[in-house]
Amino acid sequence: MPVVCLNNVSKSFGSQQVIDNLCLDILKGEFLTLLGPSGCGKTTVLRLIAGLETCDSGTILINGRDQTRLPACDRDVNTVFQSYALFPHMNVFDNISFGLKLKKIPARQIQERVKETLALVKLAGMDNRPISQLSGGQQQRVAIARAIVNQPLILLLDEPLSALDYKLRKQMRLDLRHLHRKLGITFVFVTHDQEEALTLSDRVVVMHNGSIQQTGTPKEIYETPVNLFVADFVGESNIFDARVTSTTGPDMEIRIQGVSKTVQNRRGFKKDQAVKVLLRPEDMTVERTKDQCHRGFLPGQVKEMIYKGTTVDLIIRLDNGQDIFVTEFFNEDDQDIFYDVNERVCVSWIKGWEVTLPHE
Amino acid sequence: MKRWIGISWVSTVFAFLYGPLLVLMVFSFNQARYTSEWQGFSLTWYASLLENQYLLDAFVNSLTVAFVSSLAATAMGTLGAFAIAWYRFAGKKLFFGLVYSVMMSPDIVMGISLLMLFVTAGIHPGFFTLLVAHITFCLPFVIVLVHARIAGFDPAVVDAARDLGAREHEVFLKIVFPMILPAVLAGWLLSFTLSLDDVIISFFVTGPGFEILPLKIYSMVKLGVTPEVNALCTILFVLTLAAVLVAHFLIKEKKK
Amino acid sequence: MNEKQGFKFFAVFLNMTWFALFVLAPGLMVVGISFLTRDISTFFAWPLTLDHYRELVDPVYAKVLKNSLVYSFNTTLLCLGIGYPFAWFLSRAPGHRRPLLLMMVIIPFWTSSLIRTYALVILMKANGIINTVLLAAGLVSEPVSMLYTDAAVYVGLVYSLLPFMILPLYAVLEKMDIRLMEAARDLGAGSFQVFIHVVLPLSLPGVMAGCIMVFLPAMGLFYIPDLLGGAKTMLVGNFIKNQFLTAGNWPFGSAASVFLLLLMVVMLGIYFFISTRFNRSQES
Repeated sequence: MPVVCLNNVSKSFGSQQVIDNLCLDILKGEFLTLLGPSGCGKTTVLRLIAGLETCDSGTILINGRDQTRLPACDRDVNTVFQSYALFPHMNVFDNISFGLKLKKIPARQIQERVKETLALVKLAGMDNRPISQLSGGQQQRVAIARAIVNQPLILLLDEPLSALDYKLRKQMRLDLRHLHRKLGITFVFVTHDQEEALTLSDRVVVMHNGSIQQTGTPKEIYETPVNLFVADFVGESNIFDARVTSTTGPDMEIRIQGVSKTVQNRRGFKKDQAVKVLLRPEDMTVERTKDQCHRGFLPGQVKEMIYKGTTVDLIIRLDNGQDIFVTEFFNEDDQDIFYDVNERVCVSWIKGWEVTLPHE
Repeated sequence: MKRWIGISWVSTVFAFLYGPLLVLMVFSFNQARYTSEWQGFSLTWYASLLENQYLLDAFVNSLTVAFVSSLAATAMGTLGAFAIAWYRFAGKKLFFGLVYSVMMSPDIVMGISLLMLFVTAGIHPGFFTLLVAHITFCLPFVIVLVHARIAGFDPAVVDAARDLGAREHEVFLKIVFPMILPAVLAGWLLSFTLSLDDVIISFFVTGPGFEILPLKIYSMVKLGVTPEVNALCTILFVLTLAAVLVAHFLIKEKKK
Repeated sequence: MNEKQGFKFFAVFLNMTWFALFVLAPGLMVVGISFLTRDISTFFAWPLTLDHYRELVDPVYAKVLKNSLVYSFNTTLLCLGIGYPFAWFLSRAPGHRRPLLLMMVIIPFWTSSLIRTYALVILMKANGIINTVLLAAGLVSEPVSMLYTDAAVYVGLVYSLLPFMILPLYAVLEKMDIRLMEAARDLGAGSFQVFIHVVLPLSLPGVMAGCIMVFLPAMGLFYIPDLLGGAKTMLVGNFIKNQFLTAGNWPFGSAASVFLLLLMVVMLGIYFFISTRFNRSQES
């Protein structure tokens, strides 16, 4: 049974529809990420689950009970805020024990639980520090501790890593995964950073304009995006316009920039249908050429070569003027992945690595 | 060289600002009545002040007005600051404009405008009119101070408290109130000193039956200098000074 | 939800009502009455008239306005001349000393201007401290008359209003980025040019704020000429006070008050013009 069910939930602020008839089930114990650009409504979804906003229509079930109208203070859900929202006039202990004190838990027990939680977030012994004397990373940990000390059913995290620097962010990702495994409670995480979403989550929900675009594992989201928005937002994509020229069983012939190429037909495309072909930079192959390209290869010219240590990124201008982005990995067999600027090349990919979507 | 110019400039200006006040305070302890020569330390004028029932009455009146008006202005101004910071309402811009224009407008215009209002409305000048006037000119200072404090804290803090199980009144008592308290106290103290020291506005809205200290001092000084006024001014100055120091400390606190 | 809406209604209603009753209404009364006719028993009466404004520009009274403007203008210049270098040196003082120094400016800012004016009286009167010292030192043979002169009024106005000039100036100068001056110097500007081209333009909002906070009150502080200047020096403040309390001419006093209000509006307008232009140029 899902721990949270959002059924046909809508919410608008003034005349602006922020959440449009949204349905989402969150499973018990999973790490779910809401991913989308700013303004897509992901934070609003989080606040609706927390009870900090009430929806205009639809129902919200938490643990099987209808809690659509229940105020935040009565929900078994806690939030880690983007700005941390620590109480500046209290020290670390008072911040963390705030929720427990309101629940009238005996002082002894509070002491114990705060101590345990501080150890869990690696802040043991910091009880009496004023908030103003903590670093950003430490404040982040206090914010997490303040939420999890209440042992909520669900922990909501609203872009909690966005204020940290790159190194600390990477460390916190690992710590969050560790914490999730250890606590066994449901995490709902909001971010606009696709890398964060892919590395952290069991499932990712991609949102755009107040509705869900795709729900799936990070692998599904990355490898088989269901629409152009998801493909474009998650990871880098090269997008080609093409037309189906013939279909043969599981495959089809497409015409792409004057070149014929056989690709898989997973969606039952018909002859003459206009399609978009999406390819990840690392899924493309590059060949040097002196003259003509082989069948199924697109001709172009290297515009820029960027050495990245483990990879080499190429920007290639195809002969029709489109710039594409290709990532080549170093490997044992092929040391020679350095290209000269303006060198003529041919670009293609292995059948089946492409994602083909209908023209929108 | 440059440094010495700076130091001497700053010291001279400070001497200009504080010299007269120091002289005033020192001479309030002088034995002599008419001359400016030092004739020995004495508390004569403080003692005679204590026997001057008129002055004492005026002092008590001043303190009463200052206390009540600063309390009222603080309570109302704090609400006003919340109104501006948290809510959208019709006339908010006008309200904001009025707050700033009261702070900027010359005291005398406010004095005569309230005088005309009270006389036209048939309200006899006295305690009540003074109270209204003092609340009115203190109010913007409280609103601006407290508003700065509310605007300075992260609104998510209120959400966080709710999220952790606090009900509306608990949010206010445990989070919002402790956070704005320094600004509220500072606003109260500043209102108190503003009210205690005001001359111009009070001049127009008080009546013969209700005398307050600054106006009493004003009329005494017009008649001529007496050492009792020195003593009185010293007391008033020290009182204001204490309030300003505490208020300043409170405002500073918030910046940490 | 109800708890919250009740609070909102209460907070908004209370403040709006208060400001409407005791700021907006009396303000409108000042403007309205300035166009009415004088009346001995009811203070003002119909019909509408522009007489009081006409009277204001009549040479007799225009002189009062002009005098007062001159006093305000000179006081503002004096405060700026004394206060700008002061605020500059203060803002360049060692960081750990600045809070104390600033505190020392704030104390007179908040203390009673009447008491401070009175302290000047003690110093300046014929048998006051200054004369006693001068006589004792043998520098003069008889007391110098300082009180009841123009100079005394200026000293009083500057003494009362100087902190109002210093504080806004200090606020802008303290925030000023020292690297900008270094950059100007690096590009070949001398000290004077650095001041004219970098420091002064950047401190303009503070200069304007300080000038408003000195100029406007200087028009109204009637007790300063009363105590220090004798009867012949008159500010608009003295004039308004006399119209209301001695002559009983409300409409005429109101017209003079409207003049002050207009002055305020104009100065605030200039201030907002400068500061918004300033902010915009800083953003881009």
